[in-house]
Parts: sequence; structure tokens; C-alpha cells
Amino acid sequence: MRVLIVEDEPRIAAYLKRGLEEHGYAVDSAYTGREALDWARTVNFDVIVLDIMLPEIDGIAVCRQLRKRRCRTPVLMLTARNGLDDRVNGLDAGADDYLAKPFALKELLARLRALTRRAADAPKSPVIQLADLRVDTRTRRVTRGGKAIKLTAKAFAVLECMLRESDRVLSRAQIAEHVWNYDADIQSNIVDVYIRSLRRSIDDPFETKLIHTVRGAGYRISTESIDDPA
Amino acid sequence: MIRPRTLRAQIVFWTAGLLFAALAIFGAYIYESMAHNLLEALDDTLAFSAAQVAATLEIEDGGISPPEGFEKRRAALLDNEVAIRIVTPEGRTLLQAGPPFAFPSPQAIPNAPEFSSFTSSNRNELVRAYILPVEDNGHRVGYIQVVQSFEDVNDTLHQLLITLLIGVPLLALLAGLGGHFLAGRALSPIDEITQTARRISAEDLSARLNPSSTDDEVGRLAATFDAMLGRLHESFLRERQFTADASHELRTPLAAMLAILDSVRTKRRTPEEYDAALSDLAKESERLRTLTENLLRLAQSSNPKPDAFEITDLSTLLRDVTDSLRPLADSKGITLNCDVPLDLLVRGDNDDLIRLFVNLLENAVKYTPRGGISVSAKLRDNAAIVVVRDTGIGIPQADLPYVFDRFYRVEKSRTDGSAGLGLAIAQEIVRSQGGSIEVRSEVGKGTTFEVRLITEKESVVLPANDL
Repeated sequence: MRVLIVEDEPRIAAYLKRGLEEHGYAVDSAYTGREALDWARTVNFDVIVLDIMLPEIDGIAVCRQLRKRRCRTPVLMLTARNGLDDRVNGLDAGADDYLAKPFALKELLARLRALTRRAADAPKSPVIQLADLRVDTRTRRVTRGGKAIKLTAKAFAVLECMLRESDRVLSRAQIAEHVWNYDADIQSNIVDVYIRSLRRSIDDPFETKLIHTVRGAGYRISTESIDDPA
Repeated sequence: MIRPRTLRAQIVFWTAGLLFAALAIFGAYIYESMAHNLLEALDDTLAFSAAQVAATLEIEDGGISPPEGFEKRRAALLDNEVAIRIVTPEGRTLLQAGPPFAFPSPQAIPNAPEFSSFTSSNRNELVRAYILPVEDNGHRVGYIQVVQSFEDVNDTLHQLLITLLIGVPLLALLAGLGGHFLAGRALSPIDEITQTARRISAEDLSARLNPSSTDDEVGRLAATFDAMLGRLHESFLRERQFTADASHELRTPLAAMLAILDSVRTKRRTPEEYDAALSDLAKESERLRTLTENLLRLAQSSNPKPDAFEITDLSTLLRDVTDSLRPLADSKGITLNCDVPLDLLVRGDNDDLIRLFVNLLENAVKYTPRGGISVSAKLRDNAAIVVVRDTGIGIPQADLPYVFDRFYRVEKSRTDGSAGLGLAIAQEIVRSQGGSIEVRSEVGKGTTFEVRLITEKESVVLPANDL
């Protein structure tokens, strides 16, 4: 899950980045409204956390600009405690939710999960189920056929990314874009290794294979096997 | 007070000032003790003279008479500068000899010998006087008065004072000059350093101080400065080379893309030709992307992030990497074996470790036309040793020391499309995880890379069985 944090206070930004990364998010940081707009133009984020108080262009203007560009990425606005007008203006500018500062990281995480569920064709429950595979996005527990499966943080992120768009073919670049941030500069062959690792955990011990290779295109997670598993 | 600004002026100021103060105190002490001693000596002479004369006096019936033949014996009894008179209690002068001082008359004859100083009325100079009462059977029968001028004492003291007043500032001045000279000698290398440092710019880091001696403090400073310049120069040259190589590598796919675009745009093409051009463009873009990602990874390599480290199961990781590269090996018709014990745990950056072994294996596949590649691992002295061995074309001995250099290629032509960054990145990764990497090779027989990574304590090696 790729998140853009737009926050001009470097210490808060660093704290949020670390907190979100510990929970498996791939995080990029922007410190001004201008930077935020540049980021959103090049990367397809899953969610944007946007502070209202920003130098140059404020958060509300950034949000309005994003919606004008037909960017559908969910936006969570960070407002001051008593900023009733900020909250109203932010929501009217196109934000999907707001959180008043100061807030608990736990609440931010819950709201981010809720926001990403609201995306058009995303699974509506925090627990994603595909055949006998169960993935709880809150506790990050994975089971298949009732059997608990241990995954590394990155492998979990790859699995979650694929499940959010199950039945669709995702290219290695698309997967990389949602699992790693810009600094990680991941190569497609590393995505292959993670897919191999996922297969070892959730497919190899079971009869029905869920992860399918689509030659020349990428990977697909589905209960239906219409292509050649490699 | 104006504080001297340069170090040299400060050294001069302090040497001269301190020496001046020390000499001034010492001079004052000498002067004072000299004055004291001279006065004491003068008093001793007077008392001795009076006692000498007293011993020669003739006393009869409570009256004194001057010694006989005094004039003849005077030289033996008295110094020439001492004036003397012998006086009766009534105040009659019995005898007077020596320099013609106007003797002061005491108001009363003292009971004991007494010293006094006064200004002689007739010669207008300061004199010292001594009165010795003469007694006979408890009766005072007269007194002896001796007088000597202070002139000699004063002359001596005056001489001393002049010597001190001239000598002390002169010595301080000489010390200042000496300090100036020594400070100049000691500080001149520092001025040289300043001059050299001014000449140095990012464009020209070749200037050096070349100190003649490196034994003293300044010499060591200059040598340290030279060493630092050397390192800066070296890293600057390396960066420039890297930038040049990088732009060169980036230009190759860009030139190819421009050429493809040019050729399809000159005239209408068939859909098949457009398809071919697009797929060529995609191939070149992919090459460009890989290259920029590699460059980025190398740029980041200098600052490892141990906080991103996590405990990684190296055994599973190696199997995943080999499995994911097996299709590539299969397509070339070479075998790819992985023989790794279970539960080798290392602490490191999972993504980087994957990248490390992907790079090594891709390299092996690329340079192995037939035969196979084997990946094995074992635990030795708290370190995981991973060996990647191939039966490929090998690397000539002359090239071995350079294979980890950025942009280094054994084959100088770039037909394979690689930029020579894979092994450089592998080495950077191993270093940032606190490990080491070695290469052995024999042309025509194959190449072996040995990676050493520090393991976690809990590593328990079980023999690989079903996996």
C-alpha cells in the first residue's frame, strides 16, 4: 500500500513515515504543496495524507487541484483541533476524511484502512477472503484452510496489493509501485522473488493454486486458473 | 589596550612583556638589597674606625688626651674618606682629622653608640655619622665622632640604576626581536598552508604543501592536510569518472531510442513495422530504467540504513531467488541447483539481500554458455558463507581485481547490453550488511563468488531434506 505523506514539519513527517512503514506501508514524503502535486502526477498512490497548513500552496488548494486533475486517490486531511472551517472546507475541496491533530497513530492506521476499502472496486471488509485464503488487514494475519501462514512484511504487502485487485493481471511494475516507495527503486526481478516466496507459503502446500503467471504481462491472483502457472 | 591581532605579534608581545616584567622585578630587588648592603658596609667601616681610634686613646684622671703621633698612625687606623674628631664632654675638640666636614654637634652625648644621617653644611652632601662615647670607670670622658660621605654609595647605586634602566628594556626588546624571529620561523608553514588552501578549488585539487619536515606540530598538520587533499582529490576524480561513465551509459539507450523514432517517422510504415519499433522502444526504455535504478542504488550505497534491517531467513531467500531465476537458466539450457541448509538467519535488508543474489545469479547465467550453476551455503564461525559457482567462461586473472569496480566490464564491447554495475552493487550491498565478498576464477572453467554474511545467534542449521 503506497502512501504519500504531505507534512511540512519534518519531525512529524518522519514520525508518521516510520509509523506507517512499521505497518507495511510504502511511504513517500512531500514537504510542500508543490511537491505533493508533482508526486501525485507521477505515482499512483493508494492514499494521500495531507496536512492543511503547508507553505506556498495550502492543503485545501492541493486537494482541489488533485480533484480538478481527475485524481481519484483517497485523501485524508490533517486539521487543527478546533478547525471546524478547515474540516468543512477540506471535505468540500474533495478530501475523503479528516483527522484532527494531535491524533493517535492507531486511529490514523484505521482510517487509512477504511479509506482504501472505499475505493471503487476494493474489498469492503478488513478481512479479505479468496477461496480458503483469509487475510486480515488489521492484524496482518494470513491463514489458508485454517492454517496460519507466516509472511515477511514485504511479502504481505505484495499479497495485499494483489488481493485488492484480484482476478486482474498486475504487471511487475504495478506491484512494485504499490509496495515500495521511490527510494527503494525496485526492479522487476525482485518482485519475481517475492512472488516465488508467496507461492512457497500460500500455494505450494495446497492443491488449488491462487497465484498465476501471465506470460509477458505479470501476475494475477484468482481462484480460476485460465493461464499457465510457471 | 590594543590587543595584537596576528599570532606572531601576540608571541612577540608576550615574550617581551613577560621578560620585561620579570627583569623589572628582579632589578628592583637587586637595587634594594644592594642599597641595604652598601649602607651596612658603610656603618661597619664607621664603627670599626671609631673602635680603632678609641683603642689608642690615652685616658688619665678622668680626662682624655689625643693619641700620640696620631697623624703618623692615621693611615693604619682609618680610611682616607673617614673624617674623625675627638671631643671632650665639655665640647672641646681635642683632635680633628680627615676630609673637612662640618661636624654636627649632638644635642646630648648619647649613652650608647649611635648612627645618624645628615647633610653636611659645608660640602652640601649627604653624610653618615657615628658617635662612640668614651668612658673610664663609669665616667664619660668624651666621645669619638666619625663621618663619611654617602657619595660612593650613591654613585654605586646610581650606576646600578642606570644599568638596570637601560639593560632591562634592551633585554626585553632583544627578547621581542627573538620572539619575532622564532614566531616567524614557526609560523611560516602556516602562512604557506593558507596560501595553498587559497589556491585549491573544486577544479584543481592537485596542489600540495609537501612539508620539508613532518616531525614538528606544524609539519604534522601540513602532512595531515596533504593526506586529506589527496583523499578529496581521489574521490573527486572517482566521482567525475562515475558521472562521465554514467552519462555515457545513459546515452547509449537514448541514442537507440532516437534512432528508432527517426527511422519510423521518415515515412509511413506498416503496422508490423510500428509494432516492431514499439517493442524495440520498450526494450530500450526498460534498459534505461534498469540503468537509472542501478545508478540510484549505487548513489545510496554510501549510507547504509541499519534501522531497516530485519532478521531474514537466508535459506528461504536463496531458494526463492534461485527458483525465480530458474526459467532464465532453463531458457539457456543450463542447470541451476540450490543446496542450502535450513534456518540460516541473517540480519539485513531483505530487498538488498535479494538484489545481491539476483545480481550474482544473473551474472552467472549470462556468462555460462553450458553446464550449470550451483548455489550452496554453510555456517562457519558465526558467518553464513554463500557460494555461487558456475561453469562459465571465467574471468582472466588480470581482470579479477577490478570486477567489483563500477562500470568495469571484462569484455570491453558492450554487446550484452549490461553496464557493468551488477557486481559493484553486489559489493556495496555486502559491505553495507557488514559482510565480505570474494571471487575466484579460471578462464574456460568457471567463476566462484563467495559471500560472507554475519548470522543471527539463533541460527541452527538443519540438513536440507525435502525442500
